Amino acid sequence: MSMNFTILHELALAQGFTALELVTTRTVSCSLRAVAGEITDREDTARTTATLVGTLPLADGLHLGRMAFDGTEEDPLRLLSDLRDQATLMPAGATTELVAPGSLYAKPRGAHRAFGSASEKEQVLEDLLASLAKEPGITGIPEASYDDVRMTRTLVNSRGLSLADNWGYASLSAEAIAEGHGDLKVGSDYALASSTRALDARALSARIALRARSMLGATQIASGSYPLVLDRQASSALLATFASCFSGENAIRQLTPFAGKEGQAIGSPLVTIYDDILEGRYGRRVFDDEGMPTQKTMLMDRGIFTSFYDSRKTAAERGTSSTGNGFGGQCAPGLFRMKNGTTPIGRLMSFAEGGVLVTSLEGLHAGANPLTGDFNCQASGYRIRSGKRAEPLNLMVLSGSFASLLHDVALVGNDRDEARDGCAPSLALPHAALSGK
Amino acid sequence: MKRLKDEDARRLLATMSATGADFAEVFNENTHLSTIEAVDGVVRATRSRHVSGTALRILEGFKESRIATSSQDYPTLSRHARALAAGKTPACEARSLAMARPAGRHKTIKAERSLEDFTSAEKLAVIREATNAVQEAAKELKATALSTVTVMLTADTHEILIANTDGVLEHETRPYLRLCVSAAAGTSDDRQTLMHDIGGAQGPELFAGIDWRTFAHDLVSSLMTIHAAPEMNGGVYDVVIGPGFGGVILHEACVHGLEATALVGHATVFEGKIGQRIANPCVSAVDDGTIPSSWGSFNVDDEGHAPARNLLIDHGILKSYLIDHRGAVRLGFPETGSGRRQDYTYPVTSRMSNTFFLPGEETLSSLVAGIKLGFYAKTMGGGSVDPATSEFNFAVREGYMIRDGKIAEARRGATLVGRGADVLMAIDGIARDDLSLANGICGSLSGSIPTTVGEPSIRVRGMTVGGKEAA
Repeated sequence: MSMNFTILHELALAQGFTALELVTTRTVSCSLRAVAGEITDREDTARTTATLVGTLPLADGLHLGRMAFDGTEEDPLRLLSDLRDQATLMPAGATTELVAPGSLYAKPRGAHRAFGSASEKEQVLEDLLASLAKEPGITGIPEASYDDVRMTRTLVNSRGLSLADNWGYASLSAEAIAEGHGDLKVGSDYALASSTRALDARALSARIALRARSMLGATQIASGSYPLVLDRQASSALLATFASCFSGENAIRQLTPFAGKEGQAIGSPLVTIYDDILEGRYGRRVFDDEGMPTQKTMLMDRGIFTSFYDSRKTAAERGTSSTGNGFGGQCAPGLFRMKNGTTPIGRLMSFAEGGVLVTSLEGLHAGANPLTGDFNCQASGYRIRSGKRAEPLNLMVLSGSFASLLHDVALVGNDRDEARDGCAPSLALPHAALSGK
Repeated sequence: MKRLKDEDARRLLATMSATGADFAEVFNENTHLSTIEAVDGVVRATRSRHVSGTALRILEGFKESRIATSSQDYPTLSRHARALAAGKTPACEARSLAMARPAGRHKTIKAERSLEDFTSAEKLAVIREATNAVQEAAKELKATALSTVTVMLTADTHEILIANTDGVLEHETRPYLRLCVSAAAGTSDDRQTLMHDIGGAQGPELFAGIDWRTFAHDLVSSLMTIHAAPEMNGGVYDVVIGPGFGGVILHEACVHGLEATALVGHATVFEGKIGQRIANPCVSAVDDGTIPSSWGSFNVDDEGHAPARNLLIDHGILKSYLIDHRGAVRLGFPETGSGRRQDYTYPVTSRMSNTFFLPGEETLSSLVAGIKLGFYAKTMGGGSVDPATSEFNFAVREGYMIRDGKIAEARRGATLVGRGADVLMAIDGIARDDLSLANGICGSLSGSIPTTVGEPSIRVRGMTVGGKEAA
């Protein structure tokens, strides 16, 4: 990056700032997209984004400001003027000193190698399209895409801290239409890998086709209460939606169902939830955007609520220590996960005999409220008969509360999707409210 | 800072089209996104982001190649333009680039005062006024359960240059100003939240004349109603959906399926149905980007075209799709001024602007009167749809049972699901007198963009309503 930190720092000091920090992220990505079975789009992106953080002494104490910008061509004086505005707006707070060197950080991975060649990238997408086209019952492939992204992040501040790490991944995704028995259904899925060559187009194709085909002829279930299995994709989607229930910021705002419940049982002893971005295969980061080391933070240990995750700001206000969760200027999870269980999916299915296997949840962004813990979302899946998945079901509404769900978990599957940094394994519940016909 | 000059955009187009591209485009932006968030009147967070960069794209038939870069530096962009052109097989002479269309012809949106001149002190004054109004309303309404008031003020200014080989050269400035006021009631074991907003594509004049007391009373009284309400009993009901954000049902259940993006992938149930009946005869709907200063409006779309009032459904008959330039190339329909993108890092695709059902012949009372046991979704939340199947879901923010033709007790936690194609046919009444629009953010392939949804009250026969209590 051509933006020179030393010059920027000197300008900042001249304007009354006492400390300055610059976090820069360089993103290089390639995207190929196929429409209706034909590769039609190619996009290459080279983007540099940066965040400037500065401390400004005012009459009531030290203020911390933060602003972000794209590129390397911004006028430094304009940036510092905006930074002053942001610092002035924020109340004087306890966490205004920037992080100094001295903390222990996990070792960053080596620089991410280049992904495949342009022809390899096209080939893996072509392979996916060809495999899907051969799948029985598949009549259309509205969209498929290959993407790779490499991110390089550096942090430098006037206290002498200088950090760098990087991450990246390649991905392949598609949606396909299956038709039959007078019905039409869409299946979609994705794969992640560390290189283009490691993407398995055939396996992905088979999963997508099965998802679409197996939902043909789906009907609505009668409204009622049913034993339930949330498969690992559905449970991951649901759990991720409620990650902010464990946020120190929401604890301060008293906008989480778990405020004031440290040390109390908030769920089944089978359930353990933690945050650990160091476990990530694809998004592993050794420091947060405030320069704090990232770490594994236990949030709920065998049903007992242990702690919230915190940024430096929320930690100071709550009288605790940062857990390395200051990302993007907010208190945010790194890699939020439920610990894998020991029970095979077959036993979960037997437990929920006569009930429903939910494989997809839609509308969580609108139908789930992390501030209250309530959720009402569109669900699809299968009836469970004789311990196996039977007829398909769709246009159901799954309703409940996150707090009740954690208590109700009867079995935890052993199938968390490690290949895709999955959030949660499959879960079995003795009862859940499903609305349908 | 450096800004891309018109002349440089012209030179980039010449470079990109030199090897025979059918179409070339430069999209350059300098956007400032600014947000202040306060809890109970105390600032908790500020966000300020300067988004600046350039997207170059060329089309050969329907095939598109793009480069997006956070640079405005001409030598850098010229190198990217040459790389794009190098991917082409020379096919024809570069066309002459007549920049025929003058900038600034369309004034659908305009800030009387620039949002960049809207000072932090003024913003804080608005935030405090809104917060105080809600806290006062809570006292007046004896809403002792009210716990937290969160106010978020967003003031964004998008400055865009769009140039293409069809002769477009447009400079567009878009102000987006929005105040979201959220209130929470109850304790951690039984909390409810509700958000109301004010927003538009305009400057600080948006707040002139706001009746804060009425705004706050509406928010607090609705929140307390929801907080005291029992859970919804799930099942199938006749449903009346209230005006304003209720129009999300049109947005999700139908119009996403009318976008060229869905049509080119053969992923919509509405493909090939122009001129056919897709809805009950009482249903007419438009997408209208020309409404002055509306949240979903613009002077030119992100391809430099003027917005239009597009009649989508006329008395149940499908009349038009939403078509961007590339969609027009593939599908052969005329462009509808619907090319939109979040920013230069996203592709431009066909998107909605202000989308709403047109008034019918009923009233809210007459719609409810015909229902023995039903559900009144007074205020809707967001939702989503799969255009290929038209299966959708919408959250209900504030809802009531309908009993014997009257609006009865409140219920919380309802969600509507169904198929758009079925629901359009099942609408059998639309009010004539309560059309209103509501602001939202729509997410899709080309990112998150401001849109409005709207409708008068409508009645839908036989919808699945989800709730925690099994009916």
